[in-house]
Amino acid sequence: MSPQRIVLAFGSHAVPLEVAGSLEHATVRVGETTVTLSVEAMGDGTYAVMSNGRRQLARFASDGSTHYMHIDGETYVFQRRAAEDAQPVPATGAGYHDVRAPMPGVITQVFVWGGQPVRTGDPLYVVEAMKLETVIRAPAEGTVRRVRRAPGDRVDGGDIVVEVEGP
Amino acid sequence: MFSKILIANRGEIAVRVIRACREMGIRTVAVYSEADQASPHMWLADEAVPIGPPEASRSYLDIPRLIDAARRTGADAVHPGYGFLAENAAFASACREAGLTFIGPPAEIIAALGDKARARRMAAASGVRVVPGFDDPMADDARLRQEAFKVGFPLLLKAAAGAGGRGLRLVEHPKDLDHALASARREAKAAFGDDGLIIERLIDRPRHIEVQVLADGQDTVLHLGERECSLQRRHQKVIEEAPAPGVDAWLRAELGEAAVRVARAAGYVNAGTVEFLVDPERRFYFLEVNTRLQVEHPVTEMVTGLDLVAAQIRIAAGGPLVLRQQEIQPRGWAIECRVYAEDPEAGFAPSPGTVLHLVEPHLPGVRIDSGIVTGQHIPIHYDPILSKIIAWDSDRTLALWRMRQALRAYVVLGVRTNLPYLRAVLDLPAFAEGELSTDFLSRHMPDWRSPVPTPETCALGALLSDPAWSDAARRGTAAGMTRSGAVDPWDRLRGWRLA
Repeated sequence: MSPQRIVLAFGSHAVPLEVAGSLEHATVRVGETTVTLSVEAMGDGTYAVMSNGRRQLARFASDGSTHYMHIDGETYVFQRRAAEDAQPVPATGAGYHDVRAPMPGVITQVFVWGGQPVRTGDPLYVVEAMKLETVIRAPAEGTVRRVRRAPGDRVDGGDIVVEVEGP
Repeated sequence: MFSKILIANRGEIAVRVIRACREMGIRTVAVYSEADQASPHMWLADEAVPIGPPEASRSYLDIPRLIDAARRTGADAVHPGYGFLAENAAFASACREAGLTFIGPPAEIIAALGDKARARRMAAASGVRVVPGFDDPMADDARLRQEAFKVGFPLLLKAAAGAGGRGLRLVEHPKDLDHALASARREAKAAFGDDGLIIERLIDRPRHIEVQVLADGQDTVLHLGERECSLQRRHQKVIEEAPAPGVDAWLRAELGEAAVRVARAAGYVNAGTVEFLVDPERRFYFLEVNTRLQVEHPVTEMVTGLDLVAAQIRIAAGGPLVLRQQEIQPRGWAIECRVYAEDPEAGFAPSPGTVLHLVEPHLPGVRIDSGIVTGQHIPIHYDPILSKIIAWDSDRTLALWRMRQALRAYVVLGVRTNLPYLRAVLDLPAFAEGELSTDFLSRHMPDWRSPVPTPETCALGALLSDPAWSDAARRGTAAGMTRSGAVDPWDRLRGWRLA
């Protein structure tokens, strides 16, 4: 089996990996380091991990797109993708920004309109979730190309609310 | 004593109140919205009543529906928990009018102390120092702008009707005042239905220390010592402890006396909390009175050995306090961490989702007040608190070690939580030294990022997240294979039964 090339994104920290072998004996290249390990499911989301001659208990759960892992007293949240699409291509070139809702919630205010020039840090809109208002600001200087949502709209995390185009 | 109590709340605090009722032999009624159909509070109560759609305004804040639920189930008292209607005078009087005992102070006292402006004046009149500021909540924006310049910047805008950081804005420069006024008013209106604001000068690097009081309405007012609540993020408390580091017996007595004085001046009844700001010269200023159970009440319970919810219920039932002040001596040290469904790496954005995997730390000296179970969906509609971890030991250093251990052993997968952030705070040397102030977290934890995973951890993540796993493979050895490949004899006992 040829090595599988994937990228794990732990927040903004992306880690490319090469995975070869089986769960019973896997060889994983992480940058300059090669790790050999084996994983065995114990049921109920718990896994026995053998690595470097020691055994540890890991816990893992996934909602399909986001993976959650607990090992050695720490929790890790990450996304996985194939290495091929590791470099996201901007929708219409550099200087273009989709300003997405960071969380599910309700848009309570929109400060900008299409065609309006904005500077980095200018407030664009407010999303309220769990009783907390979050002001979403312009990620870069540019012009508001489009406002997709209006106050009162419910949004999911990742929904594009405002599009900003660079100068 | 009451025979049945309706708990007008959800989550961990509803579970906490249900537990106290159970211990007192009182039956319980839970209420739940459509978003809480699988929430533990509704299963733990003796009975549960659906009260409407997910929006709090149409369920947990809907007074007629709650009163109706209490009537239909034959409850004789209502516990409001914290948040929602806990400090809503209209709810307290609606309960009274319906012949239900509201477990908390009378409506008039809630109204008087909930009005921050009135509370400030009451405290000042009883001889307790207040933070310099302006306290006419009827003032319009023009007047507030004018007064803001008299008070001076930086200043705080506060919802006169508010608590818990809602409708609160720090205004550092005059140019930010207009935006802050508008957004504080809007948030106050949404959270409390009242957009009145007051102004307080910002005290430089204060500590937030509060005193728990108990008053039986029969002339006994006691204080149960202080809680340190300085570890806040955006004015939301994150970690609390009792006692407060560096508060000696003299300052404790001063704070306690001031709290009792304010409570007496207000004619206070039931459990309440008097909040103070303490400046670096250890001068303390009255801040406000919370006329309800606090989120952080367990740390006081751990060091005093008293059950505050049980005390609330007994006082509401007319029982006098039999304790005397000198009998209340804090013992050991307790610390509480609030576990929130939020993403510390994305500006603490709320992180709703489904709890896929949950392991609570069951360790000596560790108490978990939790409102979540595996498989439960965490809705976006409510406060993001999931649970609280409370650790106790004979001194602060040992209590912190217990807390570190509990934080490491606490597994919540499926939603992002602040657990990794809490672990990092507990590891800060400055925290261990107890040099606390309300800007502690912004000073010591700016732009916190979760630890960079080791190559081993990355490799493990790659294997565990491999989509090639089948469901059967994930279930693994639970079906009867132990790790060595041997078959566990207990799993072969099919068709047998132990007699």
